[in-house]
Formats: sequence, structure tokens, C-alpha cells
Amino acid sequence: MYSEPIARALESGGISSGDVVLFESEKQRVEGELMPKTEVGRPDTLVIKLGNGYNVGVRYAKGAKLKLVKKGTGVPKFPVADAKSKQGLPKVTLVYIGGTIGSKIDYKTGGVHMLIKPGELLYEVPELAEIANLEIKNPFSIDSADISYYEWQTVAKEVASAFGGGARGVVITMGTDAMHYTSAALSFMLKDLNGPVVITGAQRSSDRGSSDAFFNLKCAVKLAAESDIGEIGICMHRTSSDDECMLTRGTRARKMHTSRRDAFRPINDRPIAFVDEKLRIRYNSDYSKAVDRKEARTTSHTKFEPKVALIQSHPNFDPEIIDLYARKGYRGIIIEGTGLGNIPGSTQHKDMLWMSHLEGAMKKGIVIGMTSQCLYGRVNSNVYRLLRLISNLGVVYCEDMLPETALVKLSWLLGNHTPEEARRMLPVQIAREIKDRSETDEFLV
Amino acid sequence: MAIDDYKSIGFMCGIEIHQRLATSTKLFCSCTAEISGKGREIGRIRRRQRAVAGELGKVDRSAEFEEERERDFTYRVFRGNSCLVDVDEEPPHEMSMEALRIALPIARAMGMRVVDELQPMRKGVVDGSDPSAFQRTVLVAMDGSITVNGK
Repeated sequence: MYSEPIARALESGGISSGDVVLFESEKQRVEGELMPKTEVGRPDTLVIKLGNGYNVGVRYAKGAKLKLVKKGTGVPKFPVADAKSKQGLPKVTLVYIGGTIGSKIDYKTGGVHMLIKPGELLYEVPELAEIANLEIKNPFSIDSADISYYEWQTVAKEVASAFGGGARGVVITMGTDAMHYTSAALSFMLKDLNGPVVITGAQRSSDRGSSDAFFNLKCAVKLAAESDIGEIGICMHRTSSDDECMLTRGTRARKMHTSRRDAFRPINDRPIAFVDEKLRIRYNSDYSKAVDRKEARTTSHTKFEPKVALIQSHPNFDPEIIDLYARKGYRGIIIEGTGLGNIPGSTQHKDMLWMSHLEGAMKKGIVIGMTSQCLYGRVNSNVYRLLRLISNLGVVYCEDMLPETALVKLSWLLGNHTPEEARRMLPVQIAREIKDRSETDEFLV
Repeated sequence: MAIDDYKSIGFMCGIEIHQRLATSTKLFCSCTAEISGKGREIGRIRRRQRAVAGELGKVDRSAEFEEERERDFTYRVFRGNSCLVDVDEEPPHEMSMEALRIALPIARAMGMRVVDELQPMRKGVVDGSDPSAFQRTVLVAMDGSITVNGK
């Protein structure tokens, strides 16, 4: 936000970002294009792009003057490529819900332009025209961290309607932060997939020449257009190099790095498939096949109970927090226990004992599931006496399921079933989120 | 061509001087700025770069040309010399204050006008010389002069 004097000067001069302005103060005289204000920097400073391309910050002190020299041209027209359908190519529906792949930033005005027309996207990534005929949907655009079950419901319906409309596959582009929650939610919400649903995005934004967006998108569209996979998967870089992408199962994926291209890893699972730089698909593990649309059409089941919490057990945790969730009307809790699924249950510090609080919550009908903060491996209530006690109380041990997946699954179960049914189904596989065998090559993949 | 001919066509020329600073770290990360060649090679990364509209809003023609050549680049990563910031896998850290403390006195010595607020920005280069496909650059000061032979 600008300081008041700047805001006034801009208003009275009819000046906005992208206009050519002349700034004069005692100290300096600067002419150039006014750049958009970002959150970084002082509110009493204007950013001006000089003729040489460099940006400078000028302080709007007392006596400073700002004049309009020339109005800018506004957001430029973005070039469009030919987007005629090509015979013989499969139809892929691209659902944009955020992230930088489907948008362009205009640096002069700071405006974000969504590339809604296939031609606009094809201009940016012309290779896509050789892979599929694209149909583009943009139900909303959201910062991935803001996503909630409301948006998942919309996307699930959008996917079902895309298959209903004859799409061979669906690609969803979004920001990466909550991508694995989204992939898990869609895995439970969608039944009888008639084709692959591939979620992709970029760890390095698409406004840089080195962005991973382009290769990720090409690989995702290729998988959606040609593979016979009937699952939700996340398609991102396999390594830091631009030579291979990896499809990770939606209920097994986790963002394991804040910024690297290869942040998304399968946990307790192997990648479903790889796509190399020549866009050749190589299947790597067992997967569910797409359902023939003559047999069944894809349906969405989007009811969802948001009042489910994810809590992590750690030293010094105050178990009264559990009572708080109970008082707030929560219907489910997933615990990320330590190790095999442990919580402080035998400490001599009475105020740190969890047992009575868990019991109280379950008496109120709250379903409680146990996962592990180790992420890798399986919880097991039979190894230690204490874990047997926790399990005997009624806490459901969730096998090798990821905590975030368990959170989404319990919310979905409670939205569609009675608490008793939800409790019974929580440790039972429905979307490949649980396996009864753990193989040796599924660790640190 | 005599010197007057240049004057008659209004020719002017400037020089651009590049100087690496002997700071303890690089400008936007904590790697050593020294090119020692002593660090062990710990990996290689292969990348492709494409032309995108830079902060100037246009796709650079030379950048487009580089992309049409479909080149890919292999970067060698050395212990101590290259971190995730260098290989474009992590956003930049705070700018080195040590570097700024060198730049500011130089600006003053040449009577330059230091800008009120520094604006780090990207300058696109897709010739492969930088894994991020841009250089991160900051204008610190403008104008000023140096006296040479009394002029």
C-alpha cells in the first residue's frame, strides 16, 4: 500500500501503473514507467522503470512532484496460436484452478491474465498441440494454500462432467502447496474414472525461462491423452533435471521440499509411471485401469465433513486441546503419533496424559485415527503394551496411510457415512491409500 | 576516419566495467564467492531453457533464438560453491550487506546519486550461463563522474 500523499498524487494526476511519469524532488528528476507497488518496500516510495530497463525506488518526500507524461497502454494483448482441432488427437480437458502455468503476469500493470483460450496457452506451450485437442475450464483461480473442500467439490464435479462430455483424460493445474491434499480429496470423491486425472503445477514460476511448468504440463497432458490409468495422480519432476517427470498416486503423494522441482514424492509407494523428455511413458508399478465408459460413467461423491482435526503428538503437548476440539463440535481427529503410533500415555506428569481426554472425546462420538509423524512405515498397536491400550480405547490404527490422506479420508467418510461406518472404513483401503504389504523399495523414493 | 567524423555523426560511446567483489559470500546466497576449484563435484543437473516474456514484458528475440536451437545445458555442482539458490531450486536469500558496503563508497567516491530504494530485478539470459535463465541485478547509484587527466 502507498502512503497517503502518494495515493493522493496518483489520484489527482489520474496516474496508474504502466503510465510514463516524471518524478521531481529536490534531489532528483526521474522519468520512466510507474511500476506496480508490491508488499516489499516502504509505503512512501514509488518504483519507476528507467529507459535502460532498471527499476529504481524514489522516495516521495515533502515537496516532491509527480506528473503524468503519457498514459500507458494497459494490459497488452497476449498473442494467440492457431487452436484448430486436429483429427485423430484425443480430447483432454484442462482445469485451471491456480498456479502460474495458466496465467501471465503483466509486469507493467501488475495484472494477472488467465490464459483461458486454448490458443493463448498453445502460444506459450506450442508442443501441446501435437499431443491433444485441449478444452480449457477455469471454474476459479485460487492460491493453493487457500483451497478447501468447497473448491474440491467444484473440481470433482468438473472432472466428472469432463468425462461425461467425452474427454479422454483430465489435467488439473494448481499451486503446489496443498496439491497432495487436493489429490487425496479427489481420489475419494471420484468413482469409476473413465480416464487419467493428472494434477500438475510448477515449483519455479512460469515467468522464468528455467521454469519446470512447461515440461510438467507437457508430461501431464501426455499422460492424460494416452495412458490407460484410472487414478488421480500428481505429475511433477522426478529429479532436479528436466529429463523426466514422475506420476505419483494421489493418496500417496506428499510435498517433501519447500522449493525444489522434485518436491513431490511417493510415500510408502512407488511412482506409477515416468515420462521422459521425448514424452515416452514408462509404467513402473501396478495401477487401477480406467473404467470403460460403456460399463460405468465417472461419478462424483462430494459430501464432506470439515470438522476433522489433524494433531501432532509431541513432548509437552497439552491434551486439553483434545477437549477443546470436542467442545467445538469436531467429529473426527487424526493423530500424527510418534514412531509406531505413540502418544504420552504413561508419563508421571498427569497433565500430559492423553488417555482420559481421548476417551472423553470418543464417548462424544468423535472418531479418532492414529497415523505416524515418521510418514514412512506402518503404525502398529501390537508391539507395545501402551499402544495396545490406546487401540483398546477405540483409537483406529491407520496402517501405512499418510496423516494428510487420513485427514481427508476421515472427513470424506464422515460426510458420506455414519460415524460407526466411518470408523470401520478408516483402516480399509478404498483409493489405494493403504496397502497390506510394504515393499523394500518404497522408502526415500 | 578522423576524430571529427565521429563528432559530425553525433557518436557517443560508453564503457561498461564488470568487477567481481572479493566478498566472503555470493550476492544472494551464502556460498563462497571464491572460484577455488577445490570443491568436490557432487552432481550434475540437466536443464532446458525457454524464452519467456521478462520483466520488460516482451519475449527477447535473442532469447527466442536460443530456444529454437533446442539446447539443453548440464550444470556441474560443487561442494561449497553451489547451493540450491545457484541451481534455481530455492529463492534468493537477503542481499549481501558486505557487497553493498563496497558498492556504496565507490558510488560516493564518483559523486553518484544513490537510489532511495534498491529494486532487485531479473535480467533474462537463456544462453545457459545461469541455471535460473536470468541474472539478478540491482541498480545502486546513477550519474557521477571520474576526473581523468584533469577533465
